[in-house]
Amino acid sequence: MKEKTHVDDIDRSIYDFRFEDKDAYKVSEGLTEDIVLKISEEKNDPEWMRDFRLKSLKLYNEIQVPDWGPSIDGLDMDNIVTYVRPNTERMHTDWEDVPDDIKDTFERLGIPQAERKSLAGVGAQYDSELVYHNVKDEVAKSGVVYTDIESALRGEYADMIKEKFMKIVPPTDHKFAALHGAVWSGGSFVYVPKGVHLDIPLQSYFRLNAKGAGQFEHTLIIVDEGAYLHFIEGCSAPKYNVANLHAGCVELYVGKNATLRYSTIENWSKNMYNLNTKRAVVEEGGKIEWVSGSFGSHVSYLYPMSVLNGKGARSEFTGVTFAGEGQDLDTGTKVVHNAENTSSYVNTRSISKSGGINTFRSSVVIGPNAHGSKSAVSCESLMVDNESRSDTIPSMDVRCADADVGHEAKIGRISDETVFYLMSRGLSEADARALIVRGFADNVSKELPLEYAVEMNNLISLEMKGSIG
Amino acid sequence: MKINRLPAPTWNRLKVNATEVNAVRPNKAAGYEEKLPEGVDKIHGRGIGPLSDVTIKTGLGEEFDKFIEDAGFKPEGYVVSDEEKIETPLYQTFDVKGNDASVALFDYSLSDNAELTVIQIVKDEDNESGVFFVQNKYRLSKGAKLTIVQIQTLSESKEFYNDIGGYVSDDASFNLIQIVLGAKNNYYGANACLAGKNSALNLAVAYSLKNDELLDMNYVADHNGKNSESDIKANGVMQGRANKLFRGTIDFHKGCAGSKGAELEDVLLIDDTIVNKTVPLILCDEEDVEGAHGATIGRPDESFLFYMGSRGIPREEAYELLKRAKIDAVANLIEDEKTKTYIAECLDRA
Repeated sequence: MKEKTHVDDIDRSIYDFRFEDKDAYKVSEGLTEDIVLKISEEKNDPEWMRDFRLKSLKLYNEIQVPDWGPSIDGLDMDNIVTYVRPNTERMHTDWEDVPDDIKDTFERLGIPQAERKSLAGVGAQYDSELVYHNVKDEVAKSGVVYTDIESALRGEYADMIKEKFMKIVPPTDHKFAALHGAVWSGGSFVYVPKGVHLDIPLQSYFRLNAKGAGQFEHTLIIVDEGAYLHFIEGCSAPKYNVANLHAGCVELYVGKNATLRYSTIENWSKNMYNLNTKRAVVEEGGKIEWVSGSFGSHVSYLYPMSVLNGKGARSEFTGVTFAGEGQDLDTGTKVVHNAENTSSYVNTRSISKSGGINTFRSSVVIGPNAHGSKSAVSCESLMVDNESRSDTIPSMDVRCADADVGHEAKIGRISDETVFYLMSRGLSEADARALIVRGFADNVSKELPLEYAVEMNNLISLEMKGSIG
Repeated sequence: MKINRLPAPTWNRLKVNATEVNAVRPNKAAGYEEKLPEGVDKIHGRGIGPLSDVTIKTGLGEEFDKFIEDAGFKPEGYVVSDEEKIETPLYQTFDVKGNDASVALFDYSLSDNAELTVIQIVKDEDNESGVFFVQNKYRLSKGAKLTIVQIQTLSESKEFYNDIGGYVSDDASFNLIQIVLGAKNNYYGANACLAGKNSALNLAVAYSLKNDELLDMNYVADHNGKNSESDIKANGVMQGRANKLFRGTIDFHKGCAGSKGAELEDVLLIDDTIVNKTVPLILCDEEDVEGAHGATIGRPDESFLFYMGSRGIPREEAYELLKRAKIDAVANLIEDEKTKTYIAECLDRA
């Protein structure tokens, strides 16, 4: 009798541990003006930020829930705690000063080891606050600023933050951008000065430990003219039987002839609603490179967007999404070409198994001024079994004749012929299938630094058995 | 009412999920010339043939279907019996006159292994701002084959609603060829329920849009039967302030193992004032399928234009050749020589 091929879920054991948050400070569940004012008071916000939060709350109450994506009926804001301050009074720059349980968490996740080996700086956020932030001396000396956004909001970069904060992603954008504007907390600010080329990456890691909580970190990165930065973002949480929420916001400013590579390995637990917004504005000759691996969360709405505003600006998006049991992951990207000779390249893979639902959603807009622009979108989906679902919903809007837009999409399953060929070369069927699936996701792993590529491959713990069919 | 709803919606701000129209209620049954071949039985009224109980979904959608039904006009039914292979096409020519909102409704019912080709020509000889609604519904029994060819050359003052939907049984196939050469506002929709094993849809549309012409399309291949196949091709040329929205969906439902679907769109853009939107969906609820979509949108390759220039053909003429080639590529799928000549004459006059 034929046995259906079996692909195991991602091995989450290294992420699925938790500590009691008995010493943490929390606001009440739900979302009210009092709660927003309480968060503002806790953060010691300047007046403009407090007003901004209140306006955002008003918008949140006015804007409707999206009617086009996965259901978020299981998310009840009345049950979400929007601010949890861990049991530490301040952010630390020495790892030894971080409280033991938090330190243990990040050590299990390998963050300090990675910092020593391969990173120029690290930020670690635990629930609603950054607990550790450090940047190597030589990097700091080159003028690179890497700090928590709240310090920046009150320090010498206060005017810059006020000028840029939620300007690319305004709270009017959608309901969860408005929510973010109201209750944001934590996150990083990075400034790379003109001409500075950072050879090794910076990394921020976000860990949500508290049950029924939301995480709303804000990341603001400015890469000035001719500079280069690789920024890595990682996120995880233990699994609870109640909904958790992540509604972060990432705003990236890529200057003239600058390059920013923004890599994410997202591995939230399967009770998480991941309603995150990421957007980059790219000036003349600049380049944004998104590398995105989405493995976790119960429901995701995630579409990093590139706005190519300068002549010759470029965008590359490389993504892989793995949806397993109980997951409905709606991911993709958006690109707006607003200037001449801009180009975008999108290359995505998605894998669906055990009833997981994958949706690739994209939008490419070529504006009337984008003469000579080019865009190529390629998305491939792999259905590993018959319980799962995979949809591809791309859109192209071209308003300029002198453009070249290509799109290709493919949906299919693991080819029996390829398995047969590999088996004829001596591989077992399980190994053959594992090789095919790993190769399918290779577009992302080969774009990551070696250590992270290994982590990603470990994430896809693919155990195969059975015969063809 | 909202028509041409995308089977799986996307961001509302893209304005592609559906099209809101204020259609004038049909007030007149359209007159048309018809050449009915031998072997085809014509019956006045809906609900004919062995699959008459099957509910038909159309491309323009439920609201349009109800809108047409509420207008109170009855369809003309055409029945082809078992094994009847009608070699001569059924010709229907509509001359849309005046400011009327006229409507023509047709039901085709082909029994086992029957074959029929229908050729519909929609034209006018005035510049009045009339509206024309045509709806074709079909039910194909086992092994049946229906081909509908539609050529539309209305003047730029007319509005045209073209709605198609049907049911395809085991080994049956539905072929649709559409040439769009006129009308101010065009709303095209087609839905094929590929219910049977080895059922097939072959759909090819070619359009040439100019000035302020609008073409809003919604094509859906609903794969339900095992080893069903769909092939959707759209070729077009856009110039002036033309506005086009192509929605194409291959929907693999659970149980359609072994099915294949392909969509291909090729659009030549001539002016910077056009608006060209493309939304090609593949929805997949079945593992053992193959779905593919490809689109190429833009100006012709410079090396092609250079080559043509080196042979003494100026850029404008090269564009004309390409435009013609895009239409011809679809027109050549039509087997009827008389119809192909008619299209060539229309293109020569344009």
